[in-house]
Amino acid sequence: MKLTIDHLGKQYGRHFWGLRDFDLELGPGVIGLLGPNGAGKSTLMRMLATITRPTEGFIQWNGVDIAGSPNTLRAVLGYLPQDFGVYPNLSAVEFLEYMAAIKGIGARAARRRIDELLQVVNLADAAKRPLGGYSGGMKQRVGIAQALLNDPQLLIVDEPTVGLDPEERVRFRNLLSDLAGERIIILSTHIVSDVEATATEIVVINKGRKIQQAAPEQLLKLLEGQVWQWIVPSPDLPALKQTHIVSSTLRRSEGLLVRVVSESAPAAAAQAVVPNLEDVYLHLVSQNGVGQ
Amino acid sequence: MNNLRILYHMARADFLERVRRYSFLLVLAATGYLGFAINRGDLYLELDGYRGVLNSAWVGGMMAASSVLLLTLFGFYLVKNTIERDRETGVGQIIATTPISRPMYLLGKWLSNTAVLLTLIIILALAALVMQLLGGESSRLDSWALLAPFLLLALPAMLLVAAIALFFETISWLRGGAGNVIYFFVWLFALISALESKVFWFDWTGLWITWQSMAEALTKVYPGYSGGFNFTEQALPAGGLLTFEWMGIHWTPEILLSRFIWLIVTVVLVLVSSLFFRRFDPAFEKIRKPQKSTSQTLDGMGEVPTSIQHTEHQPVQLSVLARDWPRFSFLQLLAAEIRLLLKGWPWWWYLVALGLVLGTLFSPLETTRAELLPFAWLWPILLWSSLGCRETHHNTRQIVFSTPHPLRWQLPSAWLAGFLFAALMGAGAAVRFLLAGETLSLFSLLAGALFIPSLALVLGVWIGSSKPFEVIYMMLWYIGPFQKTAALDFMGTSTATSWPMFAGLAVVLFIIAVVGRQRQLAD
Repeated sequence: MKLTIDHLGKQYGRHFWGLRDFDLELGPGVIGLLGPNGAGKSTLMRMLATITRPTEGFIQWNGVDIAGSPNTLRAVLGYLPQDFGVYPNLSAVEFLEYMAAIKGIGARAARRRIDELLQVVNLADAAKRPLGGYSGGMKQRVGIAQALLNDPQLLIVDEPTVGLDPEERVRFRNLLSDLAGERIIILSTHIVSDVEATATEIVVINKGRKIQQAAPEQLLKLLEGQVWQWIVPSPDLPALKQTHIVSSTLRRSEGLLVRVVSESAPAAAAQAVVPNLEDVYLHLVSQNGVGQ
Repeated sequence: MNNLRILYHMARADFLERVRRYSFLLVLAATGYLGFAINRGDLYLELDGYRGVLNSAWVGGMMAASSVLLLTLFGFYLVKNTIERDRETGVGQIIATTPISRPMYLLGKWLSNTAVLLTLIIILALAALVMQLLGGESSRLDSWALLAPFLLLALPAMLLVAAIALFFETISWLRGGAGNVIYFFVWLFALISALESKVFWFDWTGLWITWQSMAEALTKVYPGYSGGFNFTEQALPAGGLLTFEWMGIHWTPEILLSRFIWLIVTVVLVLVSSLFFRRFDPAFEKIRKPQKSTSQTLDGMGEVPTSIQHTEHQPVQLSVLARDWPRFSFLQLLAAEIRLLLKGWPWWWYLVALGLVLGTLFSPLETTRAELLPFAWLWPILLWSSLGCRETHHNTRQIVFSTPHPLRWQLPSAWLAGFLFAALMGAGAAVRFLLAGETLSLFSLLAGALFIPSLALVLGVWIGSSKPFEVIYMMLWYIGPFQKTAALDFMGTSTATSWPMFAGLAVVLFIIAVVGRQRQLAD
């Protein structure tokens, strides 16, 4: 099971490239795709999901070019788009039965699978109600269920936790971890904690280009000894932001507890702390310039 | 002053958003073509073999009358989406949180609707000018005679249509396809009533005022004139039309007052609309099936744990699917498509449908053929109009198009579902034709059942909206099967000889729909 992306590019209009010179080789596991808004994540997802064709380069699924034969991949693909709709007059069961039919899953197998998935996404109680009355989070969970209907070998989820409440977010992260095994899961998000919890490999993307690909542990090593924490008076924060990457601030009675990425100690009181992925992500993106 | 500024910006933003769309260019092109066709004489106004000399009054009057006739119908469908767009884009939710009042919002939208229609009227007014200059029958350019029909007849009519469109958008059950169908009949009824009443106070389009004025001038020269007034695309009779000189409408105070009254009606209609406009409050949005239970939480999940930490994680074990798929069952997919097509209608909709089928089965053969069958095939118009555009309308394109073989399986099954419903609604008539041994009528019925879903599919796929099918099908239905115009009678209610053409058209349209979907899939 191998997904190969080679010199992939997508051009919009005459002058704008949403993605350019993108190379990636993926095997089973959860791949977290991180990047700021407009970095090109959704463009990449849509090309991988055969929704749009690359302007240049190619994508191969087990050696087969998916631009030439998209159905090879579609048969084993589960896709949750960032922005999608449902048919409001169908219930969740009926919608999933419809999706199962157009994915070519037999009626009996589909029925069993749908029951399981509705339990998994915590919609069993609301399964018979029209989707038009669902909240945004519930629709998102229907989307997750449809993506898993065909037991996909390649599961692409684009900003899947948008609209989910904290409990459902945790549930979804756990689900992704449980499903990882003999399948490739691509999780695209700009929420670092989602990736931190599940990804076995992280790809950071900015301005339509890949700027880093590594295991989370390797990424964390990049900033060992470069993350600092200390308390500053609140009025000093704007000046600090001008000179350093501030990855977080917490209010304390003495002032603000700031967390800064810097090669050397930025202040006498600064203490080195263990880096987290948020620090790494901000560092990588800021080195590469802000999003488009 | 502040209110005027708000109105200006409301109307301006909405107008710019519309005219910068590619589809508006197509509308402009179609309007330009209309002006060109009238200029070339492909479409002309004649009064039982007579026409006016091409002076400023005649070209202005004729072009204004043409624009009123066409834009009071098509203009409505063109502008009936201004509130809908705010709803779909989510801008409405933002506007709802601003201090703008409901009448002010609707007045802004009304002005924007009017500006769109006025743009088209201006194109036709320019076409009238060109027509006089090229016609060479009158060298004197009388700008008042040329422009007055646009200003005093077409403009009030456009203001009214802009307000009616707004009114339809504020009433939940008139907002969608049902409103599109109802407007067609309202327009037809209002147009015919205004012309037949022969009272200029009721003449909301100004067509009767124009006609009367022309007839008066004509009768003075040709007393034998019998009173006809036609827009036609038919070839000119040999020797052409006889001409008379018409100097334009004599704008009496009564006529001016009647136009002013229609303006007042328009403003009142906009203000009345504001009573029904709910400021995008989701509580008033139309939901076909009310939820039975309101006791559940917003997410419908029953009790939600108060703490995430309390939720124990048990690893998910999904059953393994045998890797022998995709193994499509066309019947399974067809059943899913049929369910999708039939879901969400109220019980009385099915009851009427059943009544129509039974009616066609048990009524006298001629009643079935000429009256009940056309209605049986009009009733499901909103069901068919979702074909091909459902994925765009409900934003399911990405998940549907990323499934295996969407072109080979999903599109044909959607079409077949539409065909089967047409066949079901025509089943009563089919049995009657079979029993009467009318083979040709049976073929016509079959061709009609093939043609309807093909037309819906091609328009839905290529335009991505249900509205074009609703408008075009209604016009076809009215002119063809209902008015018994043989060339457009796709049901065979007047003649059963056109079936090969419609069967062929069905195939061609289906192929064009497939090409359109292929294009969508290839992005």
